[in-house]
Amino acid sequence: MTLTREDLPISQSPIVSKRAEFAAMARQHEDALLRTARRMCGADKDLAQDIVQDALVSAYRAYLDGRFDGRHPAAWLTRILTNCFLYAKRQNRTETGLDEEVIANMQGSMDHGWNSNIPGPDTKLMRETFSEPMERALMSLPESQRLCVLLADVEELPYAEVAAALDIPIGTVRSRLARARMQMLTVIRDMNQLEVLV
Amino acid sequence: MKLHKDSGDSLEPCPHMESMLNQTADGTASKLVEIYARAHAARCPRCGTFLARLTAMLGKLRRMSTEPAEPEKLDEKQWESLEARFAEVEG
Repeated sequence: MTLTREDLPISQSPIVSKRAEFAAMARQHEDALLRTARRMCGADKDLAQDIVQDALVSAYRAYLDGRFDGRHPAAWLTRILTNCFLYAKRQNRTETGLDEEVIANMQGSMDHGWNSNIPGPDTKLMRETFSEPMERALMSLPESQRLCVLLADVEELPYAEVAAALDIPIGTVRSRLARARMQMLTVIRDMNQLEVLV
Repeated sequence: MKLHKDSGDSLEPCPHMESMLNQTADGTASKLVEIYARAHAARCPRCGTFLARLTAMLGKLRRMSTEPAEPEKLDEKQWESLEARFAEVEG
């Protein structure tokens, strides 16, 4: 007797099995995704968790549509996470009327506060969340540079994939990385932490 | 070979070397560029220090993909909500 799709118990139906497969993959990568999202979002843990969940839903849609070739799941999920982060930023900009330059300036003011003796509430939160010199140097970068470093230097995506994920030319990836790395070295030196690079 | 004198605390490499040193440090340089950059860095204190620090920093950044070691997880409520959203996607 040949079983048809309808004869299978629900728990063994192809769609449930696909969902279980995907959930297993997602759980395997959730801590890496949350780490990356935290670094994208600064100290906003709730936003990071929301973005990871949105990314997993988008990824599941793509998975069901056969748009995942089964190779390099970490890189694939990181690209989707990046898209979700950029989408969330665009939505926020629309709602608040802030443009990227304003957000970058706000970020810069916050960064400057790290060297201040009297940290404001945001600065204090950032200090507690990103206490390591490398984390603080990373968080000192403007968002556009931080994303390049996160994708290329931390997650080790090839430059072409970083360019595709951020929708910028490869040359821009290279120049942003060069500026970002110099900025990070400067921040590490200003914290008197160059010895961490020995 | 154009060399600059070491200027103490300066982090900056010779301007014409910055791109080649970046590519050498992150492993994207062609063999020829890497040989040239390393030869320059061996004779130029500023570029030598820059390359060493940049290489060390990139090593630390790569390790950050698995650090902090304590894993972050979504809680079970969030997973339940995700499962419900997965079911919506299935339509």
